[in-house]
Amino acid sequence: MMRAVYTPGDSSVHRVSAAAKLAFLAATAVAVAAGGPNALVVVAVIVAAAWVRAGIGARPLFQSLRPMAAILIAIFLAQVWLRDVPGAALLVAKLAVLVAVAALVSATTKVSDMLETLERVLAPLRRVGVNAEHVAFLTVLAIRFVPALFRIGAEVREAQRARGLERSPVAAIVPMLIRALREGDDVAEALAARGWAPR
Amino acid sequence: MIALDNVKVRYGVRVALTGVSTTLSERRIAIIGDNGSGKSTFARLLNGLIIPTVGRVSVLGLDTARDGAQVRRRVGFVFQNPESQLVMPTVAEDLAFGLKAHGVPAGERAARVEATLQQLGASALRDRACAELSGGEKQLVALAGALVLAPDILICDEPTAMLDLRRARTFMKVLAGLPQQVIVVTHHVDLLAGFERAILLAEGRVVEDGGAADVIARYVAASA
Repeated sequence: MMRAVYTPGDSSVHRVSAAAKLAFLAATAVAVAAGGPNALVVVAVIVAAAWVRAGIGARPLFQSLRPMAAILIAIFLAQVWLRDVPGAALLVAKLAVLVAVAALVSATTKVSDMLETLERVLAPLRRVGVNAEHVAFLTVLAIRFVPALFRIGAEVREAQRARGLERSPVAAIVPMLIRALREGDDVAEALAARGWAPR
Repeated sequence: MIALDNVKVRYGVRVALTGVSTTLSERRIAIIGDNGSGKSTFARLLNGLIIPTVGRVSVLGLDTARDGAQVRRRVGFVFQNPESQLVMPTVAEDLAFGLKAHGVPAGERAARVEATLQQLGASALRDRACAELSGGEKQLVALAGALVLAPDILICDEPTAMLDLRRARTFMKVLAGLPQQVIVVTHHVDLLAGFERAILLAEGRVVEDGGAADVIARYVAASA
């Protein structure tokens, strides 16, 4: 669901290596998921301090949280119904902080740097026949497709609203799938034209 | 030079192109015709994205059926929709992606990206997010993505179809200044000033081939 893209800068946060930032992302995910409110507060303070240090403004954070808002509200209401208000609030706060950590990493790390890091991390898998370069690139390509899918979804919903079909899931899902598959074909053709081919 | 020898392309039972034999050596060539006439198939034959069902396409001495990867190293391609062509989040990363795919060492990539953006007057776009560019800027970056690989030939499939008239004119002016042989598929026949040759396709066949001004004038008159 990440929508934040790299925001150029020369802050100390930008200069931290992609490998260290990905390790930080993994460590905070474990700490937030397994820890209680205290761990959450510690991670939130660290992320807020890093965010200020990065000097990238609040836009990447809003870009990442806005599409998640409806899902977070739905999770909160479900948790209130299933558990209680404090439990629901803690879970939603954990998810919001994790989105903020991921947004910070993606806003201060070039995707090409992440790609090279992933290739290095996955390199040992070559021994068992895994093409690390392809796995890393396909991961990045999947991230690249997220805004495209949001765009396709918004265009299809607008078209169906214009036809009075906003309540029909089929009227939204079928054209979305067709357009997403067609765009996938177009990207595959463009990749071939630019010299990227399975090896 | 590109040579097509008795080329036929069939998709299942549908014949998209048939009986095409020609050589393409002029610096500026336009491929025109109605929707469904076979223009995009023709363009994709020229860099081996489509292999002829019958016949042979030779590009700079290379057979597209046998040497597709080598052909694509020498022939750049710009698509109608730049959204499909831009795969990395920022402009500089996207241009460097193509260089990496072609095995250009990491140390050389930044300089080539910078030089290509400068060539197109687009240095200011270097660190911009591709998703946030305007339509004209995206198409310019798609063109830069093809040119950064230093192709000998450039094929453009309806590159101005998604641009307004002002940006379409700007884009065609950029194409006019390129040193490469440029082959453009387009409906915007009014933007083909300076083109030497035009090929008119209809129902998968070449129906007119000659000086651009004459062929375009006859096509426009027939379409009126």
